[in-house]
Amino acid sequence: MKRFLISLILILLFVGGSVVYDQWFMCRFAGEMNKGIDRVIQAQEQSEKEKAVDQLNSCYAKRHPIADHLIFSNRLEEIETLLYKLNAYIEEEEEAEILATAQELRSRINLLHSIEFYRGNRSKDFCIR
Amino acid sequence: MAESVLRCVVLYLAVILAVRVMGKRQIGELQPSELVVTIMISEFAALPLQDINFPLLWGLVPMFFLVALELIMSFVTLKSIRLRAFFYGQPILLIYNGKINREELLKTRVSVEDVMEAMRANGLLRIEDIHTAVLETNGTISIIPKPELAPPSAKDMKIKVEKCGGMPQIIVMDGTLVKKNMEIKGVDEQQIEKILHGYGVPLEQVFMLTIDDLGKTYLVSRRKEDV
Repeated sequence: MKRFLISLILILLFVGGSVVYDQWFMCRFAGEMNKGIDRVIQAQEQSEKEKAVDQLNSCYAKRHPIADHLIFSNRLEEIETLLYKLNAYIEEEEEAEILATAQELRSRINLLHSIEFYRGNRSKDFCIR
Repeated sequence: MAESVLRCVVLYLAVILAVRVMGKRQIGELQPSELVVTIMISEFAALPLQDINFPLLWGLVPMFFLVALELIMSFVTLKSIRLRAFFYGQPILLIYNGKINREELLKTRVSVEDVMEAMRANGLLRIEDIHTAVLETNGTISIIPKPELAPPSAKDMKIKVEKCGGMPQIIVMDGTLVKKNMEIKGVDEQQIEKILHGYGVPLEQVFMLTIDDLGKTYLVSRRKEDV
């Protein structure tokens, strides 16, 4: 009985902990990325835009090791591709493409955030292009 | 490739752990819910292995949640007869006192051939020799022959039997003392030395030594000349 209870508690802790952590992480990840995207969109000067994209890159890089264990790799690859594109457009100073890519990135992040349990935390700006 | 191998190791250990936690009952006799859980566990384990995009946790978390549900279910059904009957079903009498219960056979979709197969496996050839045939909840058919055809026991024959020596415990395995079993049988190293001295075999040459409750020993030596 003791062994049974210990096993059950450990399993429930693992499952419950994973679900809660996943929920918390996804909210945080999506929140930070959305803030970063907002900064890119709102930036007026080229230097501000570069700084905002750098922050977005570092935010993604910081969260990537854990995101890799919680999010499907192909979805992360989509986000990485968009970030890569965003970096390239910033260098080329293509205003329209920067805005379009940032919006696309936002929709991907929000889509990621909106799946399964995350529907309740859907951003106001949720859209799929 | 390395990630696949790593995932394989993690999932292999996780599945073994899951089956061990669910208990030994899993291996021998599967109840309907246990069969479902076993199939689903293998499915959850296969998903992250087949698709490298699939996060490992997405396989592990539902797998262990299923194990938790099964543990809770087994505990609840242990406490409640009604729930046990609902989830696992109840044993059904297919034959009683030599009479076939056709209604139950139809209900459970068990053919007479199935009953006869179980009968032959129990060393009986005629249906009229069966006193009771029960369809167990795990799907097996238990056959109990009529009393006149049942093998006589020592009690029936009024034979005095020797006191049972209980289950022998392995005390020495491959030249190594098994301390846990020594404690169970209450023997120390000196007593074992004496026993081995009696056999004339040194400890390192012992392949196996067992002792039962009556103190009877059985030794298998490694030496070719002792075989």
